Parts: sequence; C-alpha cells; structure tokens
Amino acid sequence: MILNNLIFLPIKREVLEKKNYLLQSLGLHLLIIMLIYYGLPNLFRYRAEFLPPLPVEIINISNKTAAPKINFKKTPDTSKNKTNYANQENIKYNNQTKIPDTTETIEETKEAVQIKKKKIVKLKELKKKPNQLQSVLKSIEQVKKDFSDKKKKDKEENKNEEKVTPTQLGLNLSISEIDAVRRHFQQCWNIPSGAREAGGLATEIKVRFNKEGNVIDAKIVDIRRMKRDRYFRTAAESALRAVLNPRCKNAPLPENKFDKWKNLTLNFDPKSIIGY
Amino acid sequence: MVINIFFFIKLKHTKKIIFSFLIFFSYILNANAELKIDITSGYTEPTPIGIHEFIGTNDEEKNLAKQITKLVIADLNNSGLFKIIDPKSYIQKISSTNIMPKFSDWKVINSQALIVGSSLLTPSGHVRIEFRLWDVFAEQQMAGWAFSTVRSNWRQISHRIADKVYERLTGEIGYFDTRIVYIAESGPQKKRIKRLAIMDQDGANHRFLTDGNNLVLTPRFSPSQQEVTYLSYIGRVPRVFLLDIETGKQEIVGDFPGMTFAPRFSPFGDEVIMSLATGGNSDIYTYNLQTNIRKQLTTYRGIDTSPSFSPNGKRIVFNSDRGGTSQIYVMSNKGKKIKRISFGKAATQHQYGLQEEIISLLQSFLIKLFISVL
Repeated sequence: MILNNLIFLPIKREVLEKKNYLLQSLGLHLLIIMLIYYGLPNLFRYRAEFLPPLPVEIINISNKTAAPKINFKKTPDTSKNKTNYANQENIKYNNQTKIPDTTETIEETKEAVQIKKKKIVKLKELKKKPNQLQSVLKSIEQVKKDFSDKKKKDKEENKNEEKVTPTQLGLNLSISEIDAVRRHFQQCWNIPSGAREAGGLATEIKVRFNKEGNVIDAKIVDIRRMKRDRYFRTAAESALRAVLNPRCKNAPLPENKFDKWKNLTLNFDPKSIIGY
Repeated sequence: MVINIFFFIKLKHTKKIIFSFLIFFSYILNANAELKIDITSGYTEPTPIGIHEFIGTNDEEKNLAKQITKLVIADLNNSGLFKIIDPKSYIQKISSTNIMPKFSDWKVINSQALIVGSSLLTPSGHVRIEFRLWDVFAEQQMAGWAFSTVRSNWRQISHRIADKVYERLTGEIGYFDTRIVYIAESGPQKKRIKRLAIMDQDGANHRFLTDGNNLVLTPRFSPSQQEVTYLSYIGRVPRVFLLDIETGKQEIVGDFPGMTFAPRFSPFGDEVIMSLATGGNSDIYTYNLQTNIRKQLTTYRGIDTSPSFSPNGKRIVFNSDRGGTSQIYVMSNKGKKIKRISFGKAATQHQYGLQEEIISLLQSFLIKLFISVL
C-alpha cells in the first residue's frame, strides 16, 4: 500500500496535469489549423479593394510634378549657411567680450587709481580669460549643435529631393497607362454568358509579363474556390482566356517602367456589366 | 492551486503565441502590395469553339461519328451561347483523341475551346464514344468522357456530350439530353382532340402517349424522366394518372372519392402531390407511390391547389384563396408553418426555380380577369 501511494499517486497527479497539457496542446493545434485554413489561401492574395485608386493617384502626381524646383535652390543655401556660421561665431565672440560687468564691482574697492587701474587690468585679464574660454566652449558647443541640426535637416531634405529626381519621377504607371492596359484586355474578355451571381464572380489573375508586354505566365489566384464553385470556375477561366488570348499580345506597357508592371494583378469583375 | 497558476502562465504564453501569429499573418497580408488593375468591362458574344469531326476507323464508324458531330454542333449552336467555327477553316486534321492537339493551329482561328471525339464499334454491337474538351488558350484539357452504350442510343449520347460541354463552359447544367412532354391538340375547335405527346428537346423522337379519347391536362415528369403524372377525365370526373413512358402502362393515383387534379412529383420521385376536391373544398394531399398512403396537408375549407415541392423537398408552395384573393403560400413538407409570399393583386401561377430560394410568380390583373371569365 505504501509503495502504491509512493509510486502511483504522483503518477496520477502527473496524468491530471497532463490532461491540462492535452487541452492546451489541442487548443493550440486547433488554432494553428484554423490559422492555416483561413490564412494560407489568403497568404499570397492581394486584398480586393472596392474603389479604383483614382484620387490617390492624382495626389501622387501633383506632389511629384511640383517637387523638382527645390532641388536647384537648396544647394546654394547650404553654402550660405556655412558662411553664416562663421559670422555668427564672430558676433558671439564680440558680444561676450563686451558684456562682462565685473569692472563695476572692482571700481567700488577704495584703492589707489593706478593700483586700481593695474588691478582692474589684471582682474579684467584674469576674469576675461575664463569668460573667453567659457564663451568659446559654449559657442563651440552651440556651433556643433547647430551644425548637427543643419546636417540632419539637410539629410532629410536631400532624401526628399532624391525621391523627386526627374529620372525616377515616372516610375509608377500613370492613369492613362493603366487605362490603356485596361482597354487592351477588355477587348479580349468574353464575359461568361451564364454569370449567375455575377456580384461575387470577380477573378484575380496574377500575370507575369516579358519586356515586350507579352504574357509569360498567368495564374488564377483563388484556385480553391474554383474547385467548389462551378460558376466561379467559368468566370475565372474566361478571365484567364482573356489574358492568354493571342489577340491580346503586346500589352501597351511603357518599357522604362518594366519593374513596375512585370508582375501585375488583373481583377476581372463582371459585376458592373451585368448591373449588380 | 499550483496547477491553476501554472495553467494561467501557460495561457499567457498561448496568448503571446496567438498574438505573434496574428501579427505575422497581418504583416504578410499587407506586405504583398502589387499593382492591381480592375477590368470591369468586356464583350458578350457567343464563345467561338471548334468541333473537329469525330474520328472513326471504318466506314460504319465514320458514318456514326459524322451523325454525332452533326448533332453536337446543332445542340450547341441552338443554345445561342456558342459559335461553332466553320470546319473548313480548321488547320489541323486530328487523327486520334489521345494526342494533344496543336494549340497554335486552333489559336489562329480564335477557337477558345476544342472538342475532339471518336466512335468505336465493338463486335457485340455496342458503341464506345469518347470525347475530350480542350481549353485552347490555357492549353489544358477541360473534360474527357467515354460513353459505352447500344448503338441505337447514339442520339442520347450526342446530347450528353453537348451537355457536358455546355456544363463545363457555362457553369450551368446542360439541358440537351432532356425530353418534353406536352398536350398535342388537333381537330376542329368544337371537337378538339387532346393527346399526351413526348419528344426530345430538339423535336426528334416524337410520339403520342395517349389515344385522345379522354381529355388530358397538366403532364409532369418524374425526376427519373421515366414516368409522367397528368390529369385525365374519365367521363366527367378528373383524375390524376401515372404513365410509364417505356411500357405505356397507365394507372390512377389513388382511388379516392371526389376529384383529384394538379399533380406533381416530389423531388425524389416517390410521392405525388396533388389537390383533392370533395364537396367544394379542395385540399392538398401527398400520395406515396410505394406504400399507397395518402396524407392530408392542408385543412382550410376554401381552395388550396397547385402544390409544388421545393428542389430539396423540404417546402411546398401552393395557391390558396384563404386571404380573400388567390395568393401564393409556402409551407413545410408536413403542412406546417404556412406563410403567405405574394401580396397585392391576385397571383395564380408559380414555379420553383432550380434554386431553393427562388419562386417565380405570375401575378397580374389580366390573369385575374381571365379567371373570372372562366
């Protein structure tokens, strides 16, 4: 009996504790499975946005077209600042050498004028020296601070200027360019005749282009839905056919912005045509 | 207590894990920012498809293959959703269904899909008809089927091929392998003869099912399409009948006192739902064809008629005048939870669509007038 108590009771406790572990691990596993189930299909999927990004694009363009002016004015400014620093330093030196009022206190001591004068001169010299040193130190610190601040500002400004340099200005596709692509593929898209529940049949297709604007590779994003929804499959296949249609070779895409359009997501949405 | 605290600590950890997972996924979802272009218009024209003539090795097979090809083309053309490209423009001549077609040849003529098939006669008199549907632009096979049957069924097989193609390309269920049962009227207006007739959906295989001695009305198919239930007058009493299409055998559905009319099959084919009128009161009944048990579903003293099951058999839509005018009501298949679904002017006819939630109603002033004249 004692043996039993010694050996089996702790085991029972352990088992009891393990039950908790089991629950925890079950919960965690369930969570991971849920995350994989709901997360994985959307992992590489672009989130659909309801509104076309027209207003956003307009703002971008105005920023970029207005910017280059800064580029030319800023460079002389920085040189001026540097010369100013030197002037400022001089002014500070001058001010600080003029300011000390210790002479008044020294005058109040009742001693001979000459001695006074000598002492005053000495005191002045004595007191001036630390003042000068302090002022120099202070001014150097200030100048350093000013310099570091200016440098930071300059860096920030330079960064802004870099973004707006004329060579990189048109890297994003403009509205008219996007519109040209849209029109190009609209010619080739034969909308499925059935299109039941066309409100929810938008199909996203990831397209890889070569430099000539020809499709190298096109993939339907939501393949899982294709397997379970035959209406969606029809819509998706019709969209894929539009992309692969030989009549839609040589998409009108600007060659200098190849990096921006070599991978595109085309969203074929029959909703507006059927009047949903 | 120790265990509880321990569990609590563990819970904290799990929270951390959950949180980090959520951050991870949200990051991935937002990080993937690629240029997206919405394409919101296109054109709606019949899809151009190529149908290569079915392949046969000898004259007999070739003859059959030709007939099948012709029928498949006719079916798909009649649907209005496809444009069959003229075979004269085909570049590639295909010699076997087991070889990949040369897609570039079909892309040139803008054929979006391609049908290739073959017929093979076996010594036992059977025929094996095989076909493949290719997506020309995606260069993939979309469907492939092989039907084996008696040679005389070649028409049905052709319709089935058209069905499969239609289904695969439009997403809708094909209707080519279906038949139409209807009332054929003939003779002078005062001595009109009404006969029950049946034909394929393309008008072929037409034949009469009744001789025209008795008035027949409202024929309805069973889900298996092997039986028809209809209304026929024996003398002056209308009765619901059941007819086996293959054998031509007719029988009355339940021999009750009173009149039975407006029959329809249940979606599973085991029951017939109809109206039974006795003493000016008509109610809805179901009659089980296997157990011969009849069940009363409504008890209202006015008119309850034109019952019809929903596609899954769980609900019944019917017509009743319990609200003062003829209106459409829905109830459960046990006659409970009665709910009025039409309001306004009188609604008389209804039809369940393919979907559970959709019922089409015929609701107009003209119909009301028409009924009052009757």
